Amino acid sequence: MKKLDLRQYKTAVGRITPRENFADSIILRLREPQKRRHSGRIIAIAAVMVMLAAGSVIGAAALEAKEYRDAVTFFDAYALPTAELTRSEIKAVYRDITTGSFSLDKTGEIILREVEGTIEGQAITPSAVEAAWNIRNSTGGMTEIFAPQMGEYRFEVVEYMDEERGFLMEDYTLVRRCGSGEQVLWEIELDNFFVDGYIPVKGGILVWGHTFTWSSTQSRVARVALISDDGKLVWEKYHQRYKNDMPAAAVADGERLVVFGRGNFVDLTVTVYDYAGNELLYRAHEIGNTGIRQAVKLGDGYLVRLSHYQTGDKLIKLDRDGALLDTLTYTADDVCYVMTDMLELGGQLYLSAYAFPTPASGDVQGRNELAPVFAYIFDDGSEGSGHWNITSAELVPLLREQYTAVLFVCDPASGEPKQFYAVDGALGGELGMDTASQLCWDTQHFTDAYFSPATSAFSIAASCKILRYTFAQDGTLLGETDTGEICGYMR
Amino acid sequence: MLDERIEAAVRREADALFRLAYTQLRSRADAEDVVQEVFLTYLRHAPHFESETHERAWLMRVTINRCRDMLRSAWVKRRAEMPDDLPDDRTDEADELLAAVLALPVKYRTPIHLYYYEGYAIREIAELLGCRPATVGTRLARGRALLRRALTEEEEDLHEKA
Repeated sequence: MKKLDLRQYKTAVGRITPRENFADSIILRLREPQKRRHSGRIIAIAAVMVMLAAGSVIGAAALEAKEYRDAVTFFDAYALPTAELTRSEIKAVYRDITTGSFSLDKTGEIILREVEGTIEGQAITPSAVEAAWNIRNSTGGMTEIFAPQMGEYRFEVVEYMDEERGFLMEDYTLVRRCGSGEQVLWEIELDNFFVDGYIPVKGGILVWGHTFTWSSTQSRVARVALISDDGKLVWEKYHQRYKNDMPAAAVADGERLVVFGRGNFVDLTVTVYDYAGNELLYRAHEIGNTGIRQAVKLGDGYLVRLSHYQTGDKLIKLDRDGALLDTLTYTADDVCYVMTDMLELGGQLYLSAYAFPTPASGDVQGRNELAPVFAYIFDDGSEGSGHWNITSAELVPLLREQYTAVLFVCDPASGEPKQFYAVDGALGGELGMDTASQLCWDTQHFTDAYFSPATSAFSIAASCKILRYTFAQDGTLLGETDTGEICGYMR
Repeated sequence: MLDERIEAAVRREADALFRLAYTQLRSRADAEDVVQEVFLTYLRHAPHFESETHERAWLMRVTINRCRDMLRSAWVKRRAEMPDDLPDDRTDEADELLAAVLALPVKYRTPIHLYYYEGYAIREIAELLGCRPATVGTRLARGRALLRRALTEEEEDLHEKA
């Protein structure tokens, strides 16, 4: 391999010279505008003399002049247009940008005008202007495309302008750990790594995802990385056992890091690593085109939640070596369950779900969850009118009638439900643990809803308030609190 | 008369700014245009600088921004794929290295030039480019890795032809 000696770059670049008398030609070119500038300077001197007479105004004027000069220098440095701006507007925009405020209409007007893809008439918010500013001034196309995230770990995809293709391409993901007060404790770049998820593990975090793609015809290479608590990359993996190899969930199990993934939308893959990055085990099972939502420890093995829009949820039990043991479905003759979260806590397995009456036909999720509601709205019986103008006051009770939030308490070894809790008129949400290690179960309760037949993303949308149920470690219900949080609902 | 300060800056910095612009644009004509634009901007607004270092940094930043604007419009025009005036008669390893650097994406070319030719520190480059020092460090490392790979592949090609 050839040795890379970048000192020679200096030698080679030193040989690149502009045409002869380049500096002289610039100076000649600059002399023309200099004449016009001269008269301007006389006026400026006269103005300053008038101000001298004003005595106490001097200090303020000098400050103003300095700020203006700084502002113009800034405008020049960032190639911002000054032609249509007054002196005070130039200073105001300069202050607005350099303080990170981005709240002036004029700032938004200038910046958004220069950023491709800005839609005229859209609401100009400070965050939109700031994002546009970052895009505009990105060197090599660096931009942060995700909305600000909360929490200890944040993930941002950084892009660059690809000169050959002429559009922005994903480059790497910037992982940041933030402390209280939002200070960044460390950050690390993961090259060609779209992060799908992470879990805290002993001494750091395990992140997983896949390589960047911009077309469904491109293959996705599995990416897994272990990052230490102080932000060092301990190891990272590329795997491509399938055209599309996509890790989807992980479990930290003692000295083992177990990653579950999808292979070509057909197989469930199980890969076990140790903390040094050695691959201890790999297995694959054909499960069909099913999404992998979540995985938890179950006894000595694992429970993986699979989801399919037509067939509903399934839970797959795997042993410690990744072998399939059993498939669990929580069904009843007249009720469908949709799992929303799983948690192992205090030796118990908890499953959060919601239930709805089994539709007469069709898929078991999505809009079919609301078959009776739609039947009511679309009813064009003898009167032929239906209820297309249904109000929120009418719709909310119909939605409440359709759903029941359910919490299953399952045997940690078998996964069989031992006990369940139900809340009528709600959806089961996230499970978590409070500071006293007590189980918290969030349930979503409809407050407002509307029907919108022409919207592509949904037909019925609603907002729900989140009520939290807390359980003691022995499973006793301790109480209910209103979190004050609101979440959305769309079908 | 042209302000002595500006004239001195032209004589002192024109070549360096030209080299910076050239390594980004890979075209002598475009690089010369950009440098002239930069000094016209300097003349029009005559910003005050505390030192020559400060002035130089400002000129570098304006040059980088002007090049960036030109690159953005250049892709629409889409001229030739290859630089219009790369030396074809590479006489030594230094020329080979220069050609390899110029073949890198601009996001790697710029920090490499500022670091290895201009001698700026990573922190200073980060300020000039408006990004984080960690990003500059990563781009330098990746740029070096790409250069190493490009030069090795070239060497292997030569061996195969031989």
